[in-house]
Amino acid sequence: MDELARFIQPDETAAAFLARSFVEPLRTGLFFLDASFALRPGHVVELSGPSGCAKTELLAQAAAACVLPAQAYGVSFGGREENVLVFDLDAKFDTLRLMQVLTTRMRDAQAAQGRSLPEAAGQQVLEACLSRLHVVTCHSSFELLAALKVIKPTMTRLEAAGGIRLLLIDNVSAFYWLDRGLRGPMGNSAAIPGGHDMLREGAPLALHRVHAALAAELRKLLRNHRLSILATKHAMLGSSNREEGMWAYREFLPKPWQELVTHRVQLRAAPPPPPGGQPASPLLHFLARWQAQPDVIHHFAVTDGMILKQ
Amino acid sequence: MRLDSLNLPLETAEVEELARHYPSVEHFCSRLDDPAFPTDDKQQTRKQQALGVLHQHILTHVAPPVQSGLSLFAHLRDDVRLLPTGCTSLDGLLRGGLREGTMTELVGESASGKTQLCIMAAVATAMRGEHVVYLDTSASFTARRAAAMYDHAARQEAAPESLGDTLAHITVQRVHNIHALLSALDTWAAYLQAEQGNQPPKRPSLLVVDSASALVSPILGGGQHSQGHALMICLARFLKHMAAYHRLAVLSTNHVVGGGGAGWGSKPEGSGSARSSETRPALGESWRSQPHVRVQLACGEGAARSATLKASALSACEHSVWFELCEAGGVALEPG
Repeated sequence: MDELARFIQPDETAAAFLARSFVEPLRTGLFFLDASFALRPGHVVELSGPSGCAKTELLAQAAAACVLPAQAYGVSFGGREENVLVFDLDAKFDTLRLMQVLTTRMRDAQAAQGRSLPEAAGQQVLEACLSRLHVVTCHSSFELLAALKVIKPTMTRLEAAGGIRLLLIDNVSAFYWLDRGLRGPMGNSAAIPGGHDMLREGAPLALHRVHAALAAELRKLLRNHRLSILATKHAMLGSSNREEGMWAYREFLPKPWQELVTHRVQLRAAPPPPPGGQPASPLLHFLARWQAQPDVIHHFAVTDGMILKQ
Repeated sequence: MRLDSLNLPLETAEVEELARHYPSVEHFCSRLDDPAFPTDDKQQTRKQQALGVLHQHILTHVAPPVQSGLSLFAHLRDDVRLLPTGCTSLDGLLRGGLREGTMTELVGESASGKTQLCIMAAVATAMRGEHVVYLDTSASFTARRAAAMYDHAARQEAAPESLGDTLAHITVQRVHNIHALLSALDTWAAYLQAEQGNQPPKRPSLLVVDSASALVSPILGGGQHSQGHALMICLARFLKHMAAYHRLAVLSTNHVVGGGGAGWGSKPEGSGSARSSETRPALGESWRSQPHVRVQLACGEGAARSATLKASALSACEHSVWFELCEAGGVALEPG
């Protein structure tokens, strides 16, 4: 009976629970994400769109917001001073572009606060930023899965050195066609005498198995390290649904990935201005909308250092 | 990769035990469930150790490294060069030239200067004493054209290499189907891999594929080839992998076809010139995201050609420059 009484004793108060479990939402620096919802550990945001709608660019911006310090040498840079891990599956994440974004943001922050850092100090801040960026470039699904299998020591190291809360994946559909080319399971292969493993389960790196393994590994990472994921996906258009027009959308990745994603954002390049009309601004102009909120379309433009609301 | 071919530091029996669960490293990486461990404690720890050894092998031999931004930056600063193409207006558009480790694509209608710029870039690189691999899929490389470009360039400034040496630096391979192209790339990759570290005598710094679309577009579309897309992406990935791994600048070309439809290259009627309003690149939506930099070429009046930046991580796109096609290749024209 005593045991039972002990068992029903509260472990902790609600305040203690809240203090233990409340996590500041993560600000990605992308206004249409931050304004609409709070990114918390376990969330997986998918940015999908055709080529040329600033997907990789948005990841570079989110990476910049991670690695910039909140404050350095008395100048506030508005970053989070955390590590960020990038899985670059398209081999298109450009360190030079990230440096361009970082230097522009640092320059703008100094100008806005009427401060000017000596060059050596600026260089030091930039190098510290770069040291918080970690990139894994994968050229095949095999390399990606292998990297995920052995990522644990790296995660532990990054957690100890400054922390890590965000994982970026550039183009989760990069190997779609390659993996799809491999043979999948043959269905009812029990009927085949001596049915080989290959017939029953398909090639080890066939599309569905890659995505099942990918989702399982990412889920493990999300759980063990309290991460959020921002992933891009190259959307293949050509949905039969013509009513949706430019937002037509067709899901083509296997179920395990679809189930992992918690929030979907669609991106499009803005249609060109009507003939004779003047473009609204000289900057290239893009559109974004939440799949759960199709009425609200966010307009943004990309400059040297920022995502601008239009 | 079969486990028994890896030379893992384990006893044969242990390797066999592992291989019963995971025939290959591919199986190990894509398997979700851990197979049931033997109940015996001692066996279990041995099993764990064997798995640990396999993990270690993957970490050191298979998995791509986690690179810090600092080391990537140091690599860009110290090792990566920009290769001038010889056409100053195009170099200006590309902010210096073709960047090693990346893939640049020239897209344009026929006679817009794609092949000319490819030959020019090859000659400009070979004149500096560097090697070029030129994979010619439509038999459009001619040594006479290359020699004429050399002569013209050598008149501008003294060339360190003679004409014979310059042309000898360009390895031209004629390939006439996608499989031959992939096999040629494979041979080069194997050569570079084998020579890694000791600066091979024929290490190319520029790889030209002119034209990629001539071989790929026939295998795409409506049930013509069941693996068309897989082969296309395979080619793109191979080129990008070689570019990054062996620090090559890759230059490829893509022609355009008529019939816009919903294709991404089409423009609404009334905008742009009449000539380009109805065309789109032959390699479409799935290829579009592959090159790092894309330059669209278009014909102007006479020999004038325009080059427009269509995709780049660093520069704002839609910027155009003009050049003139002539005996010397592409010569920069002043705007206007």
